[in-house]
Amino acid sequence: MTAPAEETAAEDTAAENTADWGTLSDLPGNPLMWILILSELAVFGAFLIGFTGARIVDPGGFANSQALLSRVDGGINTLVLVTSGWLAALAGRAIHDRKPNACRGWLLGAMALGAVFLAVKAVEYSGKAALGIGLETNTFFTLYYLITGFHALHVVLGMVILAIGVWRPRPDTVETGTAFWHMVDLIWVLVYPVIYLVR
Amino acid sequence: MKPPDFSPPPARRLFLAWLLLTGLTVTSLLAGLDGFSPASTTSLTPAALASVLLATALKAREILRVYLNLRASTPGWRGTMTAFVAVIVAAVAGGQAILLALR
Repeated sequence: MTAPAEETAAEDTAAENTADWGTLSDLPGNPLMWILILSELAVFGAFLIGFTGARIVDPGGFANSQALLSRVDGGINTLVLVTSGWLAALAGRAIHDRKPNACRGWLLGAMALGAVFLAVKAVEYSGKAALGIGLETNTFFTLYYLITGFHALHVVLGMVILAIGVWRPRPDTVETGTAFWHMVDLIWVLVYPVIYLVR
Repeated sequence: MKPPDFSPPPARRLFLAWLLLTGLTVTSLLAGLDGFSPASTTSLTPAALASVLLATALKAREILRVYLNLRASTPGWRGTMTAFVAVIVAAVAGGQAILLALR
């Protein structure tokens, strides 16, 4: 026999799954995740447009500072993150095909590549610190640390959310977690060229 | 009305998306390296800049459409999200155009 509290929770979940979110119901996955994706795109978009504006004010200073970054390391990290996104997408496919163990494996692979991304970022930050470059060195590096640091925090949070999917590989958990991971991927794809390549 | 089919893309389509994303990343890196000079401070040529930004826009579109499965959504949502990314990329391109004009 099912306890009343469990029945209520099951009814709540069922109600959420069939809830009418209006036009947001036309989006795949949890509508709240899409609201988050739009919000994060707006925040990072504003950062990148602000970065571009600051470059117009001091093009020479930005070019000299950018030359101190490793464009190749940034490119490697982009490859790492898009590959991680692929593994996360395969996890979503696996849970849809009712293969929870395969899903766990793909998610663990995605998390491992997330750790590689953070390791490369740590090497990059420590290299800058060794040169005496910090948050207050100049406008370029203030924005560089704020934007890439904020993104790295999203990577850490994304790994925690993917770990929940490994622990409890339910379709809604995996779908929401991997959507967050793809958002982190999407943001880096926009951040990398603006900070490392464009000049 | 028939509800939309939000099944994730098949594994083959996901692989093709990864292949495209990898190719575009290498393309933008090579264009941005400016003749294999990793620490160059020289401005990118308009063609190199266009290659970097076009590759960026295409990568963002592919992640939205395939990884985030937006291809299963309505044209309105696909257009909205694509426009969002396009505005960011266009603003960066506009900034570089201003720099070129000021030079």
